[in-house]
Amino acid sequence: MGTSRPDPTGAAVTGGHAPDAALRPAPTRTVIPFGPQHPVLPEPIHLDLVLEDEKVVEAIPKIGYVHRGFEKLVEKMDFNELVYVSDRICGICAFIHSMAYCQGVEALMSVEVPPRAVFLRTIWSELARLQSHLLWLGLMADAFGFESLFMQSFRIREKIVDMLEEMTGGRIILGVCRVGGVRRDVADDALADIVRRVKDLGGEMRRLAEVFLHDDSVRHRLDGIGVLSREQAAELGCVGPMMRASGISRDTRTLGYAAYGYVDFAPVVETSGDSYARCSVRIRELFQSIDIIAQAASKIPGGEVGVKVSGYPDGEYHSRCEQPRGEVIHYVKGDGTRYLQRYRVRTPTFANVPALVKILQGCELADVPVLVLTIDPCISCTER
Amino acid sequence: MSDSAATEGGIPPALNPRERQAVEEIPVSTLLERVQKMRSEGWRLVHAACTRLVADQEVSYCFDRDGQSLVSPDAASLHGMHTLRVRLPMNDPELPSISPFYWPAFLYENEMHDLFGITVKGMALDFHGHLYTTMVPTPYVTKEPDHGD
Repeated sequence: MGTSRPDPTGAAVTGGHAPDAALRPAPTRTVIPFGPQHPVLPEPIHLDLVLEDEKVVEAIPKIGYVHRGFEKLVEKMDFNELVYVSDRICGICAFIHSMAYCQGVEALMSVEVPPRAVFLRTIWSELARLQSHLLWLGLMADAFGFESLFMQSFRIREKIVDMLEEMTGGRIILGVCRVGGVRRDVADDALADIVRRVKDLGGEMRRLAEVFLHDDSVRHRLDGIGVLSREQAAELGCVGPMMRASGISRDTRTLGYAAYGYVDFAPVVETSGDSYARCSVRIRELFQSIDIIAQAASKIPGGEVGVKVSGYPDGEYHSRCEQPRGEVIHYVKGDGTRYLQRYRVRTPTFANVPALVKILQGCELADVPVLVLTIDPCISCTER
Repeated sequence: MSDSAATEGGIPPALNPRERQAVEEIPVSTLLERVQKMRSEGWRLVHAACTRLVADQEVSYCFDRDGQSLVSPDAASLHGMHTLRVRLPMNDPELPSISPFYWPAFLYENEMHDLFGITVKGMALDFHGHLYTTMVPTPYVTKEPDHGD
């Protein structure tokens, strides 16, 4: 066979296998629309998945199906009324949105929030993180067909939501944050009871974690799937557990906002960058939140939970907090009137969509639902 | 925090501290050069937004480098953000895309195009005005604020 011919890579091809390879048809590409309505998606996001056989070679995202445009409401609602709007950005992590907004306006108006209110905000933030992570664990279990695990996750989550209801009157949308403090106080003995119950729930969460982290069928669906390297996570501007699972130790809470400067904790970091690592980070953060709640409750001072606020916001500030899904930014800009000039929310999911596009490239079609869920997408936040 | 200031010299940390945030206004012509510099210095793009003012509109690109402020690294506050800001006219506003340096910026830039009518040239992924589907026609037109009172 002394003949040689160029192959597409430019190298000369010789030998008996070359003719077969030349005759093999090029892989055909298929585009599969995924979403916006899909059994695994609780909220609408669309992906055009470009496939070669069963492998995804490209994913093109599309959001914006239910964009609410509430940022335009600054033209109609004053800065105090917007607290209610910010509380309703998300149906999962509502409280931290309202806290981030209030922190932003308080920065513009140089309002000093009473220490007790700051500690209460911290406790409610961590309870919100607990219920959000438990919700994600349940949805994840549902996505890979482990229904009893789904049920157990939601059963535990329900108890957290009950506690929030006891303390604030709201289960998800708490409505307790306001510019200058919080609307409700919690008696010290009630707070001690909450801490005791949350710690008790820690035992149940440990059993749940055991299954998520060690069960063969769960690991089979998560291990080595959707690997995002540390460099990619940094390059793509990831936030939250998505970023920390790739080895980047960054957590907005370490800035010390609210009372986080008074509690001892360190960002939960994993290094493998796959779906299992993302799951592991969220599970370990459950126990971290329980610890933070206990620390904050043990250090909470007495006193008022709100101050009277006078004047109007002037200037601009990027207020950032750590949501269960990662860093959220509430940008507020005022011009000295009752109405803000600009209000924009950069949600964690908005920051993690580019990374989703990357981890989908090269995955199997069957893994797409799991990968979409591993970023813990919150489209309602993103469609603010 | 593991490196809590409470452990350093017995000084209690500030409760509910605020970040030091700097804003640097630059001409559009130097935007790409400045963004490239931020990228090479290791800054992270954390946010980009457009704001309509009375006579013009401003576009802000917000960066963070593990909480350091470019302008005042030795400021009293340990953390901070640095914002690059450009001003654009109300009519036919146009910007170069920063997605060659920060690929994820395409989402912010498509939003600027869809909601504020800014033409962003060279986006890594261009939705051609279809990123958002809203009942109210976009780009939004801001007239006199309707305060409802």
